[in-house]
Amino acid sequence: MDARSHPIATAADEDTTDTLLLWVLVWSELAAFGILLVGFLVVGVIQAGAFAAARTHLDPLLAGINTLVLLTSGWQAALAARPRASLMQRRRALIGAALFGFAFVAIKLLEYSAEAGVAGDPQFASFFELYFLVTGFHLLHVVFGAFVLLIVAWRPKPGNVALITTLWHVIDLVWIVMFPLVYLV
Amino acid sequence: MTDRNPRQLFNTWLRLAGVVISGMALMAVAGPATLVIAVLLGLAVVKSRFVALDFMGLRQAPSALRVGLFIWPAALVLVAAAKLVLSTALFS
Repeated sequence: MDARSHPIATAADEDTTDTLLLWVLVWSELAAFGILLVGFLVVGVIQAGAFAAARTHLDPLLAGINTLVLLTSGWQAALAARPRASLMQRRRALIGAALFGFAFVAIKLLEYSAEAGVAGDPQFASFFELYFLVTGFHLLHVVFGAFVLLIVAWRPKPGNVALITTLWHVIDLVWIVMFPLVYLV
Repeated sequence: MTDRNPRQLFNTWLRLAGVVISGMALMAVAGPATLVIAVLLGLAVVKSRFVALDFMGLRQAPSALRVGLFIWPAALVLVAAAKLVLSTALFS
């Protein structure tokens, strides 16, 4: 029997633009970060004094600058994800998004280097353990995501661009919420 | 994928940058007072909306996705606000 006349649709005939698994991944990331942030807030209530004292050693100005850097990176990612973007525009925007991502990492490492001195103080142990866990987990996502943006810039197929830019915006979204929760509340 | 054109995306970025700089200025002028922190928490939800609707392109997406991506930051901000109120009531 000729395959083309077969009445049953094959996998190749199916819609290849379905984003179900992308959103499953997005929500698994949001759930993981949500749990970590709620944990941070709960311990912050239990050890309110130690958390308030430890927080004075953080640098909200550098974190604010990093928010601007990551939002600029997200803007570049959105430019890359436009359906009408040319191949060169897509490549340029993806590389721009990755470079701003690496700038975020550099600023965060600078911030960590200033905090490392007080992090060993037993009085602040719980705060800095959770702080490095939550922000470090996010930082690893930025490092990994920035490398993936560069790989996708090399081969900017629309499906790959949509996937990595959506995840990149989620990393952005997490930082936007994490910043006031960790540095201020 | 976003349906916005480059000009619209630039305007969104400009608004986001304005919100971030306003927040930083408010913090520098007024310090970490409870009301200031409450305003900054509200601004975090506003920024999340801009990112979800314009950068992620969810304006035309199914409402479940739009609502879900509003509930996530809003719920965390509410928990943070509750913690703020609790800490202020217990330790001030």
